[in-house]
Amino acid sequence: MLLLGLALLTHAACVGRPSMLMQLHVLNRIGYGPDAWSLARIEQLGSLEAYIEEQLHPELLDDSALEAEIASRYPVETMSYGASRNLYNEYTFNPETGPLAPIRDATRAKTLRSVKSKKQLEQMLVDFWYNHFNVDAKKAGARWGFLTLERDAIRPNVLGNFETMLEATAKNPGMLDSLDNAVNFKDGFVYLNTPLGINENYAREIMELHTLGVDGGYTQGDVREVARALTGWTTAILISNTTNGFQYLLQSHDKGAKNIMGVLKLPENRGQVDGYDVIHFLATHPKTAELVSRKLCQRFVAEPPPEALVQAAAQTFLSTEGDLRAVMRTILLSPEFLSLTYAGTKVKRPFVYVTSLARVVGINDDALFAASMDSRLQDLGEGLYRAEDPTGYPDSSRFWAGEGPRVLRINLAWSAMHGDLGFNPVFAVTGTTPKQIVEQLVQQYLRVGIETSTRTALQTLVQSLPVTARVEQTAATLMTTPEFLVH
Amino acid sequence: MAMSRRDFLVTASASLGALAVPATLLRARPARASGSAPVLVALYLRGGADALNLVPPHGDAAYYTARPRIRVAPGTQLDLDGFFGFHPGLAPLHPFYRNGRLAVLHACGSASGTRSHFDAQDFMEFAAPDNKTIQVGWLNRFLTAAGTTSPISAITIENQPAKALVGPVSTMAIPALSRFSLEGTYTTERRQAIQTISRATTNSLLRVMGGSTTLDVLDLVQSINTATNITYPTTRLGSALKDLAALIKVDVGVRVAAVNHANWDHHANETTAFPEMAGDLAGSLAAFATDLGSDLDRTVVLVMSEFGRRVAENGALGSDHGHGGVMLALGGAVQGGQVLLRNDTWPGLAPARLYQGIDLAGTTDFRDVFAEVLDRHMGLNNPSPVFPNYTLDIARYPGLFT
Repeated sequence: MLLLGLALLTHAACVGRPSMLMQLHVLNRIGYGPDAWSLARIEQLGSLEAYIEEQLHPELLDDSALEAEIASRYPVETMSYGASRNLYNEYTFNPETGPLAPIRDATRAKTLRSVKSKKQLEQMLVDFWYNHFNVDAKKAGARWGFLTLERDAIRPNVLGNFETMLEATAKNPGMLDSLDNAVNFKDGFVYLNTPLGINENYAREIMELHTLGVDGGYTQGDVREVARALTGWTTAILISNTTNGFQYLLQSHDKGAKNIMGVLKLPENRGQVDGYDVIHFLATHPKTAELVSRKLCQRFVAEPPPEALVQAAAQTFLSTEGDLRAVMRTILLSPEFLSLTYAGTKVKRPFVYVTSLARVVGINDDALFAASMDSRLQDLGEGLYRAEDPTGYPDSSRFWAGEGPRVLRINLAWSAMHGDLGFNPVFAVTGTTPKQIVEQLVQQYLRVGIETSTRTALQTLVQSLPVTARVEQTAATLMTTPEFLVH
Repeated sequence: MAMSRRDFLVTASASLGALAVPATLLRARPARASGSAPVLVALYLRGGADALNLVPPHGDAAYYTARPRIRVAPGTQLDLDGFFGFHPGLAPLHPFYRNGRLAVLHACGSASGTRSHFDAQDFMEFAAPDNKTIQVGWLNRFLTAAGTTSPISAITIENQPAKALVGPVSTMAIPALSRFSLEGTYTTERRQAIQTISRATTNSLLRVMGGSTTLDVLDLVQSINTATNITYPTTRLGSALKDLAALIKVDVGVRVAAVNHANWDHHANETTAFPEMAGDLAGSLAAFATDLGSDLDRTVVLVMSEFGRRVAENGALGSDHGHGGVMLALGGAVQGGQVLLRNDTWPGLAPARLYQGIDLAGTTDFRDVFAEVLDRHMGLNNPSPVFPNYTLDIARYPGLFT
């Protein structure tokens, strides 16, 4: 009996609740920071592993109320490419229905979703993959296609198959237009009265940025061969209300044989299959497995990522032929991730700062919050859907370092803690001494300890302020301390 | 066959007597306005600016053959020296060329043949072609060598520091002076707290965010008067240069600045996009130079891009990534009014003269341009530490300064 009792005790100790530090680390990395629901969910499920497994199956979670709210506020979110293009067309100068309305509404929808969704990992992954396949929504040809790129090409596949995602992005009108594959035709082909020809832009970037990487072993000649294979993959001219914006223009395809990297040899006269074959070749290539794994580990684990984990994830990618859920399991259930080794080693880029602030402070005016954050994010240098390079925004702490953004965060935290911009702080502070006020604010908003020097400085701040201003001003300052600026 | 431009120039080039003297013995020092320190502005044209259309070699018939649809129409260029011209969009800069304040450097390139924007930009900003282990900016290495004198010695007018400025010496990144101020109430008290916290924190990541210097600079920046009579283009570049001019004129210690101009990646419809881009570049630079007034004497703006573009036009009325490109140098100390080429020779556009048979050759290594600017304008006696794995030789300095 005694032995059994000891065994039970030992077992209980092993599956005890994870420390708050660990919970915060996980919530700060696989989502946009802790909120009441996510902390309670970890407690309910009993372990971080269980929480992560559930996040890997977002179909099990219910966001229907949120999605209904978003659909009603921002109708473009549920429109087809064709319908949105016809409605928010370039001939309307009304900002409500002009061509910039989709990007405005999509930005607000994404901000709300990232703050309120239970499917935090899915939102993070959609952001990651959009950035990977970045299209600048401000570009004339991408103003409608960027949204379907995210919603239809990326979101359904973030925990699905990489090749399926890649193929869907290759057919997206925003992608086709901004990387010029929409005008990639066999040399001499006359299109809309203009003689056109091979355009290398997308062919280069699909290899350099989306799959193999710049050291993927392809040459200038291979870039041209891939371009030839992708001729004819273009945008629809006639925009019906149901079109997804893609058309394959048979007669513009370069029918000759192609040789890509000496490995993929495509015989002549195979039409659109050339493009599918190239996509398959690139999507299942070991270099792609490594590039994708490295970027995911950099985003979720550490900068630079631990090499052993990158290789393990790449191995999973290859052995599952690009099953992204499996790859994420390898990463998120790894000892490298599920430990405090890399906790707090990334600087929160603007979108993460803004959303994590909203999740701990609370918002009570969704429309105002979403609208306010749109311009703030642009000021902070991370306007959603507005990164100008196909590389997207860099995932590197030092490139988010800047004095301007630091000051802007200080100002944003002040507005939030004073209930502006849709924020709704409800302070759980009952104490009156500087020590009590600081302790209770730290407990409410950070949930873990802060450096002694920070604590002392905040107490001094409390003392220097009139009683009526103490809580808000200190709370505002707390949200710009090192502990909250990193994750 | 490579052409010597002497075949095209009426007057003989003013060749430097310096070429006959052993390089190590000759250290020419430019005359500079006494008092204030020299300033270097690195203006980066992102995307691979099309050198052949920015500064078309109108004296080279092959230019027109290679680009029947996207060439600068003959006669519309603004002539520079009888062989090269400016795209008409660069009109606002033409007077500076004629007045000897602007020099052009053509057929500039990198030792790396990469046609990836992202690698080529890195290799240039880290001044380490084909070397991915070096991740420190050339201007940051300059700061290490020269020392900084003020918290605002080096600044990027952007939300994040330019890669050319990334490195162990901390630098500033401010996108707009007007937004750089604390809002709300009790700013004095809060600022005090934040400053104390930033200085005392052991969090090394936050050093990256410039924690303690941020607020030191706030006062400095908030006191700057950005009002000016000069009208700048209402573009991002115009606003950035306007703020930068204010910072330079008030002389708070800015020595090095980085500014970006996007996007020059003209894969399609180049002739429709180019005039506006060129106009923005030239209009903003012209306003900047005028606004600086006498401070232009101690300032040099070096305009660069990761590579030029393909000689032949592509099938989408644009051009693909190339190799050799163009640089511009604008400033009071610059020996302007000339188009500088390595050995005074235009490599030419015949296929046999092209890089890999398709691109303009890069006969002037961009590092030699950087080195001359650091040496003869910024006063760095020995710029070698800024250029790892590269042996400098003043005989290769393009001749931007006497």
